[in-house]
Amino acid sequence: MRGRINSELVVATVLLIWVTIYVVSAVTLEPPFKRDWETTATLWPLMLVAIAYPACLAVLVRAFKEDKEGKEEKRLIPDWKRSRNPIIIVGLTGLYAGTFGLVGYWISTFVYCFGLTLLFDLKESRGERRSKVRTLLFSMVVAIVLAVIGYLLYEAIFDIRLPKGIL
Amino acid sequence: MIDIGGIIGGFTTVLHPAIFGYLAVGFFVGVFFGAVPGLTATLAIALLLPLTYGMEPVPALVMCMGIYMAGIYAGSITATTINIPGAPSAMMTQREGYPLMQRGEGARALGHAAIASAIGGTVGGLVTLFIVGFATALILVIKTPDKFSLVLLALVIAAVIQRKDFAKGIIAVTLGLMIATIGMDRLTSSARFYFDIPPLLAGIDLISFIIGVFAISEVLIQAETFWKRVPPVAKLRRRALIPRLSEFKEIGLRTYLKSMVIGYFMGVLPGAGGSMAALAAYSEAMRASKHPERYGKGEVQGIAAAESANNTMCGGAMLPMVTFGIPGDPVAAVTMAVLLIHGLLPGPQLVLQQFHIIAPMLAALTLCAALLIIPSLLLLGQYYIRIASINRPILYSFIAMVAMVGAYVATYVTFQMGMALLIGVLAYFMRKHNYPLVPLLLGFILGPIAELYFRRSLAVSGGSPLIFFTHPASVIFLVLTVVFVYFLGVRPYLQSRKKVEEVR
Repeated sequence: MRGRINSELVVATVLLIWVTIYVVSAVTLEPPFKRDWETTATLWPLMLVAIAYPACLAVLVRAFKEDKEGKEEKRLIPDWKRSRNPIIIVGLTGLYAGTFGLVGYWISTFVYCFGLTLLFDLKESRGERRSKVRTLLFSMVVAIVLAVIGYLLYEAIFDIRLPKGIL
Repeated sequence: MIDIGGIIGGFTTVLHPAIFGYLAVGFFVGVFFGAVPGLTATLAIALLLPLTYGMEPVPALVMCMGIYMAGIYAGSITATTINIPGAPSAMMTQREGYPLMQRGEGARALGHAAIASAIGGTVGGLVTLFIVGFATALILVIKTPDKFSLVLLALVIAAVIQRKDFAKGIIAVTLGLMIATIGMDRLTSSARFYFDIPPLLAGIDLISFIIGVFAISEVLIQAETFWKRVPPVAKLRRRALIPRLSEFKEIGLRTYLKSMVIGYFMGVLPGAGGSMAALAAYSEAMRASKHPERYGKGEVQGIAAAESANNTMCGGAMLPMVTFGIPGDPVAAVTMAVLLIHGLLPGPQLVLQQFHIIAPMLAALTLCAALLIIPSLLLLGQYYIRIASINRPILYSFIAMVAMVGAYVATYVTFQMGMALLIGVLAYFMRKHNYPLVPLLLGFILGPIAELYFRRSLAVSGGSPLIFFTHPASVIFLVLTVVFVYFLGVRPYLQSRKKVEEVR
């Protein structure tokens, strides 16, 4: 337990911070009512905050209590070994979203699919003896095939234009 | 109120070879997504959403209905053969199907699951087709304050129905409502919550949101899930798939009828979904059974109850979606997005003026169950049981790619790809910490209309909230909200606390 953080607490705190940012943004907009009791764009968000705040606090207090009682041992972070793959995928997907319009569909999709297949294949074959060259070749072939399938699906069948980028 | 001509027209449209082709394609896509553990019909339609831009509404909706019905049914295949439910709604089927499989009677279990699904799906679709007119007439009577109270009822049910954790349900629904407020205010056109990021002025696109919630979060979850090796399944004999008549007598008409009523009701309730329908019907069948001791050891009555209920649910979930724009389950919510993409706003006007679009959609649900489930099992059952052994690295890479390109295609702006990723990460953490996703989605979809009805009501009353307590229909909805909160939220909480205190 020592030196570790309860992820339930972290999530509840993050949600509470989000609600706080939201309410601060809401109150800086305009008053919820005009002089003739006409509603403004602020009223509804303030009502949502009034519901969300107690709920977030309830979860936070409960998580804090459970953390104190040691009930939440199973949900401790950082479990980096387990979280490594999702973090890599988030990075790859962010890169894909960032480069899709710039370098175009073909290159970005190939790189994205290659990275994902490699990651998933390594995950699936953990503990097995598989040559690195085979894994790399497999991922490369899959990435090319998936990029072609995607192109055919969007451009050829459904006539949806994909960015050409630098090509 | 029953438009017989329109209903017949709906069936005729779906039976046209070209449209039926879309239904068949949707059916096989649904079987695939339903049979592979981790993939769902919701995900299939979410991935298909951007492609429907280029399609006419009727084929797009017909295809979605094929995916829906097949996705719910196909969960029973892997639940029975490899003890992993392909869809959450097949969990009860797994309890009875796998013991039968171990005894060498897996084909019998699959046969019963298919027949019960076909019966339930057909009845659910037909009931909705015939009562949609009455429901529309009822909705037309209610005024703006009543509409707000009805949306509130739907949101509260969605928040409390899925989990015993009321607070997390409330957080999920309000989070969805908050995200929906990002962008321009519909009534005053003033910008809010865009944090000086100009693309956010247009708000978060519905497709990006759906893709993030269902596709990206699933890919992230799968990235850290241990994949069990799928064991080889023995060949099934086609003849063994057809159950004996005596078994139907043993199951009894009452079990089918009761399960279908339960399933339909669960479908109408927002956020309940197929798993709740199957669980409720299964529990009721076990309670009423003369041999409850047989349950859990391979009782076909349990399979019939669960499968007929979860497929009847499909029709039920469509009723509030088409008549009022309140989806009964996540698939109905995503199907609603297909309607919105084509400029069709769910509600009474849609049913009254565009019944030529709604009728084929509901007819497709019925025909898919009636014509495709049983023959396809008899012809392709042997291949169905191999679906789960598909290469998962390829599958999830493909899903992630299609999801991200789909988020781009929705608006042709790469910013929405980033939003899909962001929403996906949020949904991933929510799933990991047992925050329900259905209320999040319903909050996002229903948020704009909830705010609209609320502020319009206040405009009429001069700012007085008493307007919600003076309209009879509104009062009924508010009372129902309190009743649901008590029975689904407060009472289970008090009971669990009592149990904890007793243990102490």
